[in-house]
Amino acid sequence: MSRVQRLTFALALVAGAACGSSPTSPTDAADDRLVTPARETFSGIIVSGTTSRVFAARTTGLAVARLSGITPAAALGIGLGIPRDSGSCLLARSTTSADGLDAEVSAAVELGTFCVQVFAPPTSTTEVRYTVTLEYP
Amino acid sequence: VTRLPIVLALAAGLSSGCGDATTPTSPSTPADAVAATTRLFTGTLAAGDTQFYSFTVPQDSGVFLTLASVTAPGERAAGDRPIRLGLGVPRGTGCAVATEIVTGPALTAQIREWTRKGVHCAAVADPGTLTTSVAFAVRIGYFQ
Repeated sequence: MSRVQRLTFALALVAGAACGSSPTSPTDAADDRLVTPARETFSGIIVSGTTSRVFAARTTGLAVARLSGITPAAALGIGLGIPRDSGSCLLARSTTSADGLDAEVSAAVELGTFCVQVFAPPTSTTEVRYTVTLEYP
Repeated sequence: VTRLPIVLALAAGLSSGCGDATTPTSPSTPADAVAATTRLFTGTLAAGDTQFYSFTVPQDSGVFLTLASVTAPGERAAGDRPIRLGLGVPRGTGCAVATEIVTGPALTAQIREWTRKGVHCAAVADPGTLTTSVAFAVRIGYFQ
């Protein structure tokens, strides 16, 4: 349990104890809002270069990006990093698919803004379709 | 966006849940709520090199440094070479580092320090292991 979660839990206990004569435990619904990971899926076409998407983590946890559906078979890369104003993504973790096979990269994140990037070899001239599934806390 | 506003907002929300249920009130912003700001310190670090970036913290605040990226120049894939990351205050023409670690890139802060308001600096340096230049990116976060 993170510090924020511990503090939130403690606040919930204090607030609950301060209200009325029948204190109750924190509800499951409230806890679910704090811990349920977000999930996004998007597809695209890449020739060469990079394409990025920004996401906002709401708490500490693991971000996982999966690259699949690479058609035709090609060696695409996928990475996780922090965005810069120009729209590019500064990568902390990355991996490259083995000629069309699925690839997955993960990294611990905390509250803040991050990005996932798909990249193709700079010399590529073929349009390649892909799908990214992203999960983050 | 920081943890603190969330905690403060939750505290405000929880406390506003007490009392007369027939007189709902609008959510309020805590008077002491703060906002976070981030800055990006990027560059190219050569073997044996040191670089720093100065920034002003407008009030006593936690400062968070995240060495988020270390790559070979021109490479798209992420690298994992460790470099020295430090936090300090400007002195003369350099940065007098008070806290430092040698670390690889990550997406969670490697340095978290409580600082007084004023001018501080983030520094990166070759720990003695670089044989070629690397491009780096450090995210600096603090409250204002």
